Amino acid sequence: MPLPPSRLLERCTCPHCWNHFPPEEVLWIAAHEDLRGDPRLGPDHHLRFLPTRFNLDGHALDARGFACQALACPHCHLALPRALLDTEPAFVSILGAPACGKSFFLAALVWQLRQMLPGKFTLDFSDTDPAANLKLSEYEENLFLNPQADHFIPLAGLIRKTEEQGDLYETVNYGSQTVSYPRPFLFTLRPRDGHPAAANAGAARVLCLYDNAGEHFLPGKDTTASPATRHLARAFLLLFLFDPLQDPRFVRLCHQRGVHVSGVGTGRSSRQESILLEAAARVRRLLSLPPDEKHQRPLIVVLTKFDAWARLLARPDRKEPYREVNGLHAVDCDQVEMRSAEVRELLAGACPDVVAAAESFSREVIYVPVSALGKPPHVEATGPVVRPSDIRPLGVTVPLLYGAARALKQLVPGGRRKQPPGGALAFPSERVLRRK
Amino acid sequence: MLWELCYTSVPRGLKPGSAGFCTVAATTGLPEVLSGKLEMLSGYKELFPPHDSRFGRNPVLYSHVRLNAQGRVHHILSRVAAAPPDYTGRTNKFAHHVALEEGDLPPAGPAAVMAQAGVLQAGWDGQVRQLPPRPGLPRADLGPSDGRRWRDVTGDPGWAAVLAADFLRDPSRPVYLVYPLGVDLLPLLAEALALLPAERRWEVTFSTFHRAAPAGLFCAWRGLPFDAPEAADLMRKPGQRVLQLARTLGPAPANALAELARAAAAVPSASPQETSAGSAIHRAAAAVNQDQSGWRSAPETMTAAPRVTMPLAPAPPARSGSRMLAFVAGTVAGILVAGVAAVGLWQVPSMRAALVTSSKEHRQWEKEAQAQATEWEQQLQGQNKALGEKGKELETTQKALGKAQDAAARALAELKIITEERDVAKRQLEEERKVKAAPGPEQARLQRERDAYAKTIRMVLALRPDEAIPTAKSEEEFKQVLRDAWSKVAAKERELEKKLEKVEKDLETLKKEEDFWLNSMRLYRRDELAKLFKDKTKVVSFEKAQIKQPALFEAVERELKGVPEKAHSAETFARARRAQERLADRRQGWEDIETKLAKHLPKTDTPESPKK
Repeated sequence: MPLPPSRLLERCTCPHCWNHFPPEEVLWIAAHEDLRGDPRLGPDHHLRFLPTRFNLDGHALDARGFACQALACPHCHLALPRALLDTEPAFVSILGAPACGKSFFLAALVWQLRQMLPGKFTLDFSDTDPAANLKLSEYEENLFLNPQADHFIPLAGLIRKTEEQGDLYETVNYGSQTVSYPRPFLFTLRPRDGHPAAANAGAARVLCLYDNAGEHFLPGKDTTASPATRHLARAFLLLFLFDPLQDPRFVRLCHQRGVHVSGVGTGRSSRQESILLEAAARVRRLLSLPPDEKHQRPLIVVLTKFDAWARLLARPDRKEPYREVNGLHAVDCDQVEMRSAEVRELLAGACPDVVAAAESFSREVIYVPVSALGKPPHVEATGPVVRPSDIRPLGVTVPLLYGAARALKQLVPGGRRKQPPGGALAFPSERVLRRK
Repeated sequence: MLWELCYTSVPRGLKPGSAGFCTVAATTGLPEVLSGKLEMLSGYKELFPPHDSRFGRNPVLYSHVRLNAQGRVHHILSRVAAAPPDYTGRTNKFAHHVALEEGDLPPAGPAAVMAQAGVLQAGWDGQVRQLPPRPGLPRADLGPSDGRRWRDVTGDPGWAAVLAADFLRDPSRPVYLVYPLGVDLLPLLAEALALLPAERRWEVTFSTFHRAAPAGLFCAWRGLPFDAPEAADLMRKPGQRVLQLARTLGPAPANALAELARAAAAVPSASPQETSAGSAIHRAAAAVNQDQSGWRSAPETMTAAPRVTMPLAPAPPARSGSRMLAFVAGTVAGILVAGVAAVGLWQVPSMRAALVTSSKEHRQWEKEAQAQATEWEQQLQGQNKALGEKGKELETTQKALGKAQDAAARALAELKIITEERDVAKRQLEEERKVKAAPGPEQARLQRERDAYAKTIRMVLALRPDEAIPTAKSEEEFKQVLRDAWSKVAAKERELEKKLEKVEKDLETLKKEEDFWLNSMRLYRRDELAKLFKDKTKVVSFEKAQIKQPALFEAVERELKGVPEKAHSAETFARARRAQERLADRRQGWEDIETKLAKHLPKTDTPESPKK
C-alpha cells in the first residue's frame, strides 16, 4: 500500500523564538535519563540531537537506544509540538498596559472558544500541547470551574499578576547571552466534519497566544535578553487591550453621563496610548516599515470592562455578532463594524490620542467592547471580589473571531448584509474614516 | 565590588518609564547586563494567595547562584518573598539581590552570610532610589554552627554531613531537600556548609524554595516545602536525590564529617566553625573524598528508592595514607626500642657489679627495669596485635580496591567508547570545516549528503499515524503498513549494500592490478622496462589486463549507477560515494599507467600470446 504523501510545510516557525527553518532541521529530544544536559537549556534538560537511527514507528533513537518522540527547535532547542511541522501557525498578539486585564481576557477567551467553536463553527479547538497550556488551564479553572464558585474571592486570588520571570517564560543560553522567551499557549483549529473546509487539511491552523506581562510593552523593555514581544511582528491579528477606567478622561465622561464606575477600576490612571505607540515602533522596527507606511494587519482595540460603562452607548446591545447561515455560524462583520463605529465615536470624544495612535499605526482598526467577567466586581475593604459562579464573559470571542473571519476565511466564515448598489465598501477602516 | 538591586511592583520604578514589576533601588553604576540578570532571578510564585489565611506562611526564597556577566563571575545572594498586594491590588513580591565578586567572599559561606541580620532586606521601605556603594559583608565571625538545627529537625546532626559529603562527592548532581512549612531552611544550610572546607563553601549553589532556574544557572541544593506541587511531582519521579527533613529520618550514615558534626553538636564550644577545627574539617572532607567505595554505592541507594531518606550507605572507617605510614613508623620504632631494652637487661648483672654498691638499690633498679621491660613487651604485643588487625583491614581494603579497579576498568572501557565516538565526531567536524574552507566538488558532495539526510528526515516525519490511519482500517493495520514500508526500505537498503560489497571487491581487484603495474614501474628503470616487455609472459598479462580492465570498470560503473540516489541511510550513501571516488581514482590511475607504458612499448612490437 503506498504511503500517503507528506504534508510537511516547506518552512516551519518556532513559537518560542519565531525563527523559520525547514522541517528536516528539527532536533529530537533525547529520552534516556543519562542524556541530560543541553548546551542551550542547561543541565536539567534532555539533550537535543540530530538523529541517524530510527525504529519501525519512525521514532528517532537516542545515543542510549531509547525511542524519542519529542521534537525541538534547531535554533532555541525548546520543545516544538509536532503539529507545527505540518500546520501553519497563526500568531495573535495581546498587548496592553499593566493591570488592563490581559490575563482575565485570555482565560475568558480560551474558555469561550472551547465552548463555542465545536458546536457553532464546526471547528475543533484543542490544546496542541496540553502540558504547555497548563498555566492557562489553571486560569480557566480558577474562573469557570472554581470549587468555591459561590464564594466571593478577591480578583487577585483568581489570577496572579503576570510576572516577567518564572513559569511563563523559558530561558535559553546562546553562549554567554541568556535570552528569556515567553511560553506560548498553542491550540489547534481544525475543521470538523460538516465544515466546508473539512476536506482541506491545509486549512487547519495552530493558534499561538502569549500572556505577556504589561511591563513587557513599556518603552525600553524590548531587549535582546528579553525579546518577549517579538510575536507582534508575526501576528496576523493585534489585540490592543484598552482599559477605559484607567483613563481619568473616560471616567469623567462616565460621571458626566451618570454612569457609576468608581471602585470598578484599579483606582489609578495610566497613559495607555504610550503602550500602543511603543508597540507600533517595535513592529515598524521588526518589519522594517517606513515611518509613513501603515501596518497591513488589522488592529483591534479591545475596550475592557464593558459591563461597567455599557450604558454610555446609545444601543447597549450585548448580543454577540454571530449569525447562522445554512446551518453554519458566521461572524456578522457588519454588526461588528457598526458597533466599532459607535465605540470609536465615544472613544474619540474622551481619549482622542488613543484613537489617533491606533489609526496612525494600522490600516484597519476595529473597536470592540468586551468584559471578561460580565459584571462589575463587588468592592470590599480588601479590594474587588467576585463570585466565580457569576462570571459570564461578554463579547470576548468577538475580536479574535472577527479577525479570523477576515484573515482565515476558510476556517471562520464572515458574513455581510447585502449592500445597496454602488455602496460597496471594501474595508471597515475606510468606512470608519468616511464617517469621521 | 558589591552590587545591590531591589525589585517589586510599583507605579513608578527607578528606570525612566518603568512601572509594575521593576527595579526600585539599585547601587549607583550597576551594569545594565548584571541588572537584567538580577531581575531575571526575581521570579516567585507564592503557595498561598493574599486572601488566604496562610499567606504569611509562604516560604521565603533564599538563594545563592553564580553567574557570568561581562566576563566576571558574580555570586548572587538573593531573598525573594511574597509581599502585600501592590498598588493595583494584585499579587506582589519583593526581591533583594546582592552580587559579590570573587574577592569579596566571606569565608563563612553564603548561607551564614545571608542569615546575618541586615545583609538582605525583608521588605521595601517605599523609596525609589539609587543606593550608595556598600562596604563588604561581615567576614566570618558568625555564630557557632553546632548542628543543633539539624538535630532539632531530623534528630541527628549527622544529616548535615550527609548533605555536605554528597556535595564533595558529586557537586554537579542536584539534591532536593523537602521540608515542612515553618522550618527555616537557611540555618540548616549554613550548618551543612560549615562542615565544608572554607574554600569550598562558595562553590555550593542553593535555593530554599526552588523554581526553574534560568538556563545556564545551576542550583545544587534545592529546597521545596512539602506543600509545593513540585514536591509531590518530585516524589513520583525516579532517579532524584531527595532528603525529606523529618524526625523519622533516623540516624545518619556514619562518615568522618558526620562524626565531626555530632561532636560539634555535643559540645557547642567545639564548633567546626572555629579555627582549631578547620584542620579537622579538612581531614574529614579528605577522608570523605577518598572514601570511594562508600560513595559509589550512595547514588544507587538514592536512585533506587527516592522516597527513602537514608541516602548513603555506611562508609568503612576513614583511613588515609599518612596514617598508615605513621603506624608503620611507630611499629618499627617500638621494635627498636624493645631491642635496646633487651640489650640493657642483658647488661644489668655486670653493671650491677661494677656500679651499684647497695643491693637494695640494685634490686630496686632491677625491679623497675623489669617492670619497664614488661611494659614495653606488652606495648609491643599490643602493637603487633594492632598490626594484625590493620593487616586484616588492609586485606579488606585491598578487596574493595580490587572491586574499585574493576569498576574503574569498566568505566575506562566506556570512556574509551565515548572517546572514540568523540574522535569520530571530531573527524567529521574537521572534514566539514575543510570542505567549508575549500569550496568546490567537496562542498557539492557535502550538500548532496545533506540533501539525502534531509530527504530521510522528511520521509520519517511524514510517516505519521494521523496521516496514514485514514488509509488503513485500524491502527494495527496502519502499523503493519508502516512496518511493510520500512521493511521494503530495509530490503532495498540490503540490496544496495550487496551491490556495494561486490563493487568494493571489484575495486580491490582493480587496486591490486594497478599496484602490480605501479610496482613494476617503480622497480624497473627505463631500459629495464623494455627488457620487461620482452618478457612475453608479462606482456601477455598486461594485454590480458588491458582487455579485462574496461569490462571490469564498466561492470563496477553499472553496479554503482544510481546507488547514492537510492540510498536510504547516510551510511550507505557515504559508502557509495566513496566507491564512486575510488572508481574514478582507479580509472585515472590505470590511464596513467597505460600512458606511461605506451611510451616504452615499441609500437611495432605487438605482444604475442604465450601459445603463439
